[in-house]
Amino acid sequence: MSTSSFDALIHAPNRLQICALLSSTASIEFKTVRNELDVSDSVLSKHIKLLENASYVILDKRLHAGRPRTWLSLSPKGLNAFNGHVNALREMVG
Amino acid sequence: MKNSDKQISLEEAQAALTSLNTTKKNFENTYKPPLLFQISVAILMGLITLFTSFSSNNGPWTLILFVTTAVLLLVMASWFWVVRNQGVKLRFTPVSSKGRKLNYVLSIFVALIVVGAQLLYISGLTWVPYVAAFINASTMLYAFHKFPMGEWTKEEHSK
Repeated sequence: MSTSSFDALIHAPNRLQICALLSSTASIEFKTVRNELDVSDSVLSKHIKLLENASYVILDKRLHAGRPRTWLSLSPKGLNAFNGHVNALREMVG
Repeated sequence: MKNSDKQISLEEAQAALTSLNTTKKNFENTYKPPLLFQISVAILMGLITLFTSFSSNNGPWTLILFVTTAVLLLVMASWFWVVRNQGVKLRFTPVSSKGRKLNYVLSIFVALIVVGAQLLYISGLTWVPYVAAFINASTMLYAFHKFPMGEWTKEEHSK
């Protein structure tokens, strides 16, 4: 069970949206997240790298029909941090 | 108004929650099953409820029940496959405890209706399976409409 805990890493608008998308699914492909957020590859890569370094996001690179596809998913630690952050925001708003 | 501990204002917190809600809603609207799929699954669920009662006397209804169940599983699998090709792997079970509870409650409700209808059909009330089929089909349709990703999502309202 996640407690309320504000997480500055997650709070950045794009990273908050990335976590929101990943929390609803088992995993999402990199280009799908990029399209949903309407950002460039490099911007998304930068945010993913930060989340990956914090062990919040897991990257899974696979070949599909000869093309590399990167799947992103929230780790249990990331899911816990995201839920805690959302709870903290809700507590602030009241 | 600034919250000194969290270093963000109340307005920022509200804006973050609103943005979160919008992102989730947009995502749900893009990847939720189409109406035709929802109606197909609801009808198949209704038919399974009906055929479960009819199959209590055995005969060809058992075979029809198996075929209908197989078709339902195929339709569900095809939706997972379509969404996966679009770059999204759906969860088989919800991740939140509320979502899991919702799934358990719906599963138990549907199962009780199926079993209840079968017992009442055996005891001579032959109209009950039709009502049960309608109830289960409506339940499935409601669940798809209200919880398209199988999750219990909390609405964040602007204040």
